Amino acid sequence: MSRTLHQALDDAARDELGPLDLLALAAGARATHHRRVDKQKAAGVALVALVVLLTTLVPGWTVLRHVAVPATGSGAGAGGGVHGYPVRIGWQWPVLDLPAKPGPLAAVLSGAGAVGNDWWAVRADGHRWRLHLSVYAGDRPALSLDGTRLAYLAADSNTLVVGHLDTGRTIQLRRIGVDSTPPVAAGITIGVQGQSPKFWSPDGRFLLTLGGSVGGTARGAVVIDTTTGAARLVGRDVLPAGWLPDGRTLVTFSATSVQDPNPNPEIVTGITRYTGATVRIVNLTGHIKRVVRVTPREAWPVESTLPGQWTPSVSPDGRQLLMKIDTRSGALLQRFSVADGHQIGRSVPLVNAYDVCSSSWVDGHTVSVVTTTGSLDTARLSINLRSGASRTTTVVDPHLGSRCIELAQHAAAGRAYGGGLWGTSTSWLSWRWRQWIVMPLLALLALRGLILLLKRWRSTRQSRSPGSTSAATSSNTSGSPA
Amino acid sequence: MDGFEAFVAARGPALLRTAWLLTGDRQFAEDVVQEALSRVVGRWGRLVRGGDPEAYVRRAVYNAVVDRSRRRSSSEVATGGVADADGRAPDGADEVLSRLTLQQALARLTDRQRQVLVLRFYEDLGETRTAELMGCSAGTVKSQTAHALRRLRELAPELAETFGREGFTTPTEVRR
Repeated sequence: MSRTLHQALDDAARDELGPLDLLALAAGARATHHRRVDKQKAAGVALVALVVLLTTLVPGWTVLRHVAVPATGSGAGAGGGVHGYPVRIGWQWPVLDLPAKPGPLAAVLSGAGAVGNDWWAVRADGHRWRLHLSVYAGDRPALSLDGTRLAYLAADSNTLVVGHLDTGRTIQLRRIGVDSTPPVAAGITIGVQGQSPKFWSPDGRFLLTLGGSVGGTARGAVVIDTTTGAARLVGRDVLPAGWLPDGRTLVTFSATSVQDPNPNPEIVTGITRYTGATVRIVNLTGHIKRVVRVTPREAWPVESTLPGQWTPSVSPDGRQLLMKIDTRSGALLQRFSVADGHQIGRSVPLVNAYDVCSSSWVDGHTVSVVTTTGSLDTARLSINLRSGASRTTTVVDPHLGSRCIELAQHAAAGRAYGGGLWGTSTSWLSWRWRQWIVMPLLALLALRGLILLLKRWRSTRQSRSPGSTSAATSSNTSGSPA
Repeated sequence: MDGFEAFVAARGPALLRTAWLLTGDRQFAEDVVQEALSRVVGRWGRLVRGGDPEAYVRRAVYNAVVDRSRRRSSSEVATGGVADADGRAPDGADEVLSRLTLQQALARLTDRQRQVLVLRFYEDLGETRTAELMGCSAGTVKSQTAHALRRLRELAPELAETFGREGFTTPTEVRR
């Protein structure tokens, strides 16, 4: 009888294979499946862990670097001072309190509401620490030029505190404190006015700020010797503007104005029109060495705002005085000769500056200006006063609610740190990319976990129901041909 | 238990036979089938609801075998005819002898020849489906089938007498 090849192949296979342990085959398949699932789960967990680690540690990379490398790796110069600034100040976890000895800092950064007491200390590579529990509400901490000293009014004692960031030494100047909020702490003889700039002398010994004798009426520029705690009023009714390079001569400033008659005297008695300013060169005892009359090349527009305490600052070489004039059409930067008061160069308008927090010198022709745009992006701009060209040097995550960055002068003149992929972009994604990677991954992981739990629950329920397994346990060792 | 064990008990032998015929290696056949089953056990309920879990498993077996043969050198194993049985075998022993002869002849085919024979004559797949599984054209399947049958006749001429010549003819196109 003739047979087909199909039958012959089937017979040959049956003959070769003989009896089969099919339960073992099924059990082996299940075991292989479970091993594969376990591997996939482990790989998934490892992947998520890796992503979480990367997304948390990359911005916190500075934490590792701080531990692993000398201070020079985070923007500190060989001489111990800071020599660089951060390009991006953004999300960080965790944010700890400022330690006693963090090394030189590049900046202090205000938190939500610059007049509040929310402040962060920022290293050159962008690493942040909290300062806000320490600083008196309304005060503005100040870094020395090299970033190694931090002066602020302490919230707990209402006294001036100077932290030596390179040595960890903290000095509380018990005779100098807050003058505006009674009751004044006992023993305080010189009060520092809140919301006033503090100019460090180039050698980091003296502070020039705004204040006066407690209980007295005289207010003006005050010089504080941070090594002894001695303080002296060096000019009445003037604003501090900075130091000359010798560190023993300082510059004060006072605006001059006239009252123009108002066309509606019933409503307003007069309009203040600023005509110029008087600059005084003063020594540490308050002796006036020279008085210079500052006059703009073109008269400042009516209704300009000039005499804010944040306005004037002296260039590092002591030759120029920077002033910011707020006009109805926007802010202008102007510079004047300290020697004779004439305006140097042209006025530089600040475009798209919704708010200007501070302005300081970087070098003889470049200033650093912190502005907030209409979209509430706070950024530090480097502006060349000769050409008027500006570039963004530091951007701050809007989520921090910051409106001001106070940079140590040497930091502003140093190199840029960080920036990475996003540079100075202020796009939403540049600040929120971690959330767009980490959160979806966590959500997927949670969903996967829920599905696994549901499957396990259903499997358990099925296995407990009577008669559910009776049909599946028989073994067939012969089977039928395919 | 969700019917998976019952399926293995019922269809496992057929799957193993197919795998062995495709590979000629019992251990590898068992590994291939177990691996294919492990890939369906996690979604067994869904496959059962889909209607035809065996098709999925067979497909996995075919793919695993074809993948392995692609990785291996596809050179033909040692050639040469099977030694003729010495004298005429007694009735009843003919069947055993022919199975042994077929096993030896299959072992001497190349992987591709073996696979094309099994897929076409044992699994009754059409040329198109076989070509799809083997990753080649239908024309190649046709020529490989002709080569394999010719080779089988050369290696085991007595099989043609045992099974009849129609057993060595190419089946009509059947789609599975």
